[in-house]
Amino acid sequence: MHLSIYLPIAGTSVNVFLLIALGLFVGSLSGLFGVGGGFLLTPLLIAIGIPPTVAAASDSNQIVAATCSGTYAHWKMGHVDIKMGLLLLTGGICGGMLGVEIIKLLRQVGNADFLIKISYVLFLSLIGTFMFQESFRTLHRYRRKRPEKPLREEARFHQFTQKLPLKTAFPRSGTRFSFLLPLILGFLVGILAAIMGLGGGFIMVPILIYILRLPMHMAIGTNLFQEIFLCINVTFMQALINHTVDFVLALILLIGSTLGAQLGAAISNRLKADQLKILLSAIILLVMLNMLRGLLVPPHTLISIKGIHS
Amino acid sequence: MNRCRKNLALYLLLFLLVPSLSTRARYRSFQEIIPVVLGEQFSVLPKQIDITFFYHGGNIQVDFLAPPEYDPVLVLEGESDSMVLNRKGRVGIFWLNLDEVELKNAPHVYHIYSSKHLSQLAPDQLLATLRLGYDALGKDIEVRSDALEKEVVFSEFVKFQERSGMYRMVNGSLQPFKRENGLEHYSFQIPISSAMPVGRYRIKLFYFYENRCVQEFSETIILQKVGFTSFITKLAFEHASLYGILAIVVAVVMGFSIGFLFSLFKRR
Repeated sequence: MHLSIYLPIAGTSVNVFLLIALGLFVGSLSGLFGVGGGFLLTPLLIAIGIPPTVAAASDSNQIVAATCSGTYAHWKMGHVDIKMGLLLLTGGICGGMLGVEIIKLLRQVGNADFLIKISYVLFLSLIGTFMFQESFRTLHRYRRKRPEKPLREEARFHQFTQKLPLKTAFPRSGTRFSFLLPLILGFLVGILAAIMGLGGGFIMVPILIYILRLPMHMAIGTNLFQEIFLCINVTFMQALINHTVDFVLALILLIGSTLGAQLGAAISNRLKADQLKILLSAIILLVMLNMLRGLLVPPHTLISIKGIHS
Repeated sequence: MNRCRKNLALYLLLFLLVPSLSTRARYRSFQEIIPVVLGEQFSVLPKQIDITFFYHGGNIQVDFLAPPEYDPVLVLEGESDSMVLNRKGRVGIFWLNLDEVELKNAPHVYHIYSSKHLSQLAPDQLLATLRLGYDALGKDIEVRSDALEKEVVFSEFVKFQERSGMYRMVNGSLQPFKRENGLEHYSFQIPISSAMPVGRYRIKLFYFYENRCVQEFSETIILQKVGFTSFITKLAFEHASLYGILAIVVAVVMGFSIGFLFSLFKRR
């Protein structure tokens, strides 16, 4: 069935069912892994002819809906630590502001694109490989019924975090540490997310699991909660400054993504934490490989539209 | 229409009277009558394309006549503007955005359809004067680039525009569908992609004969947003903060509503 509609800000027409299917796919990833999905949806939208700047801005608008839907589902299952989320968010907003300034500075110095992409590839490959190895090892142990031993580095880092002052309890996550820790980590992720141009879910979820030691499902729900506010901020700024939010595009995408987020959350609840970690790490590695391909394969033309990193 | 028929009849009469006229007189009469006939038979429809919610591009129907010895060239040209684009380059083994290039006086859309290869119709100098073909366009466009030659930038720009369907050059695409009363009838559809920007477009028709452009006609068509698409565009550009808040509120309400509905469904 072919039903095309015209997107007023994107300035092109697209098939409605294709957009709903894209939203459904990305929304289910959001509900399943707690990531916004911008890393995947923006390139897909560009591939179907949406201008890059409109794709990125409208994507952040639909992520607001997907993360709201996913957060609600996880909150009902008791997987959202609001206190932790608010601290991460505060740090993230401050880090984001600094990140924007760093980007400006890098652009003035030159080769900003190179630094951004290389750091992205390195960062994703490190996180992806570590998560994959760790969860694979745990699943292997689980099958052989051997007790889990924490890595020596992990144990040392945990000891260090416990020494930090201003400790506070996070009853929902069942943990207790300095409230400075989520603030600082949120700040660092905010810087990276602003430099890399993404929501930061890919970085935040592993950090919540490995550094703050949140259970996998709690990490997903809490990250979704704080991403709502980050994406609201991005959507508003894009609408106000760049006029690149296509409301019609976002509306159609969010029909699919909100449904997908619910499906993803339901599937997530049926999977073991380590199975989820393996899947997430595989996706992180795929994204990294795709980015590497973009860096190594000669482009079709030496000219491209301004507004995106790639 | 009556005037057109009269002109056509006059033209035919001239052909019938050929044996009784001297060659020179025949040529002069031909020169006087033919532009009127061709101009009146040049039809472009529709003149205005409304972009509605269900718009997905379309075609512009162009009909015209041409004497058999004439070679027609049809051009669709959008408004010219300045464009700033990223330039990619190689750093070691990586392909990256290195700097910016600026193209001035470059049309957003440029389609050219001809009956033969342009080089067979007119010398380069004349094509450049008429801005016909990529080579002519390249000479007319101003390029600002620190690292690349103008020709390289323009050739990459054309490749880039061709990939998105904004630029098109098809030699040999204009062919008559019938010949009647000594004239060839052409009927051609110019594809209008849904991604073409709103604005005014010129449709130009050139007739070439013996390496000269003997006649030129043009029509203007307008591509404009109407109704819902126009309303959303105005809201986004003229009331940006309201538009942003609306987009966020709808997303939040939709997100939580679907979450709530699913939780009800699960309970049942």
